[in-house]
Amino acid sequence: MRMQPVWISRRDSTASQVLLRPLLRVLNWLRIALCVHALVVNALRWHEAAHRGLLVAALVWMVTWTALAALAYSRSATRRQAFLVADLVVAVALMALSAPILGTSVFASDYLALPAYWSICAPLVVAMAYGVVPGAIAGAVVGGILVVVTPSFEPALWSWVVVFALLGAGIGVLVDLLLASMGERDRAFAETASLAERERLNRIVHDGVLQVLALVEREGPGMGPRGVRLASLAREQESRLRVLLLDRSLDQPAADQVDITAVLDRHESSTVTISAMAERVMVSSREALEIDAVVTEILANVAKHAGPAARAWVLLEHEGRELIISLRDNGIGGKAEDITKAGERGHIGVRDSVLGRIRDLGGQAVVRAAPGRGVDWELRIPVQ
Amino acid sequence: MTEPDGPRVMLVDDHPVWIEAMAGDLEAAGFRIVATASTGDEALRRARATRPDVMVMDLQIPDPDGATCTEILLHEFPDMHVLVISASGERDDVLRAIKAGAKGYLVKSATPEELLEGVRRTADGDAVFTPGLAGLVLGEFRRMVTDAAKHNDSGPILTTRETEVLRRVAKGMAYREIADELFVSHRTVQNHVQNVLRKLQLHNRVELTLYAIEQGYKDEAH
Repeated sequence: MRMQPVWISRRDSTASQVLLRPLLRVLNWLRIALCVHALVVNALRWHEAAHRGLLVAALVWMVTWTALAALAYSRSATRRQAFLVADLVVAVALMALSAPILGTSVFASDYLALPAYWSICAPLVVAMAYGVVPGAIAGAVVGGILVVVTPSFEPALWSWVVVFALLGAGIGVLVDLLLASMGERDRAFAETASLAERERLNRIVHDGVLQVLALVEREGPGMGPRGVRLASLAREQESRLRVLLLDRSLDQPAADQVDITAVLDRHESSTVTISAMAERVMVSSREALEIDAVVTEILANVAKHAGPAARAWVLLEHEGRELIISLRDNGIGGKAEDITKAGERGHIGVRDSVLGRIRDLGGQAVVRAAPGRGVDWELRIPVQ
Repeated sequence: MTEPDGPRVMLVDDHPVWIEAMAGDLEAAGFRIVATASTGDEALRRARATRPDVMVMDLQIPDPDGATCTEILLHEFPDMHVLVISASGERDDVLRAIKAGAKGYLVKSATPEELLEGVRRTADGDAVFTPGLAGLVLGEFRRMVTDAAKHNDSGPILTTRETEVLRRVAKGMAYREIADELFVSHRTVQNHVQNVLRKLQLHNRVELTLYAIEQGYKDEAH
């Protein structure tokens, strides 16, 4: 249910405007056709009518209102809003006057109201603007006024309520569905456009910034200590930029499935090399978060404990139903027992962030280390 | 002729500053730069005209891209040695170039020494295996085995030893360290790596031929 009419709440949204304008135009033609039908119906029972003068006046008012409606619904949003209320009042009034103007006996012969089916138009506009429930209510009110004025259990009479309410609801459902599918389409367009835009930026950045940074990195060390510093700064920035360009979160087909390769790629830096296969490996986003946290913790440990010159390599393999992630550094190393014991002693990082998480994922973590030969982790995690 | 007789090298990169920097380093080390190109089109034309021994190929160049140029050139000149370099590691493209027969892959952030060493090894016909490339190749063999299993036939497989070596390369270990850990010689490690690449490229050629035959049958049927 829409809390505000589409032309108010989504005035800026071209989708709803694109949909509503032609619908309102079609509705105007429907209103004209039903107006002609009502004129013919009343012409045929002209001699039986109780108050012919009032009947003419009511019909003239209906014709005039049909013309006004055609103008008003093509106008600005605020006027439409005010006109819609008036439209409903006119429809209810003409329906209520059916029995008094035609005469109760004439009306009861077939229960065809004075404006005939013309009065459904106002509830249909409500349905288009506000959706299914208000559309149904408006239909029930306009049809129901006949029963209020002439209380009776005659099926031909109370069927007006049912049919008008269902028509209001039906059109409301259709418009809701159309708007939803248009919104979906617009989102897809926007996503494609933003992907294309990022690709364009990628090309520009690749052609310019990345190349120059890589060149500074390359030539810097030949220019003395300051050059070395420049080179290391350039290297840092180049890595960061490349991670940004590689961010493939937009290309993910579904939000609950994530490409773990892309997640690991974000850890690539001047001291961390990521190796993986060319294909994507999709895991649930929960698993991806956990794996990411584990890798982050291990790499943080490398940065903290492995020494300033240490580098790290991450290898991702996908074998059958298992992901194998190997993390190795060439730092000062230590004894494998020390690292595991650190976990047992309550070293929070290793115990909770690495071993705990891997256990929760139903996997295994093995660590090998030797003094002077770095630390070598192997994580095996089952995937579907 | 009075020209130096070092390996004849062609450089392809869409950035003139890069070509200049690489050419300077390579010439100083005794290589001959016989041509340079900044687009795929130029690369194809000039390579056909100069027939270099070694091509240093940037993957991100305008039409056709570096991987496609590698495929075309190695199809025409199977003896040419191609070393792929790339600024941002687009794995698909790297894999395509390697399967087409490129000898190795270096990232652009490699040091001038690493580049020289890479070109020297490429010129000798050796594989230039970086950790990133080893990971790619491991993944590709796994994929081929799974694919073959789906079609109930046997794809190319790595021996246990080859897998051991490749995994260690992917984890950043030097050939020397791998040799020590596996109790083999440095040369053995190099041979394993070389074999893996040859297997991958051979399989690719077989697949291409099968594909061509299949297409041929289809065309005849029409």
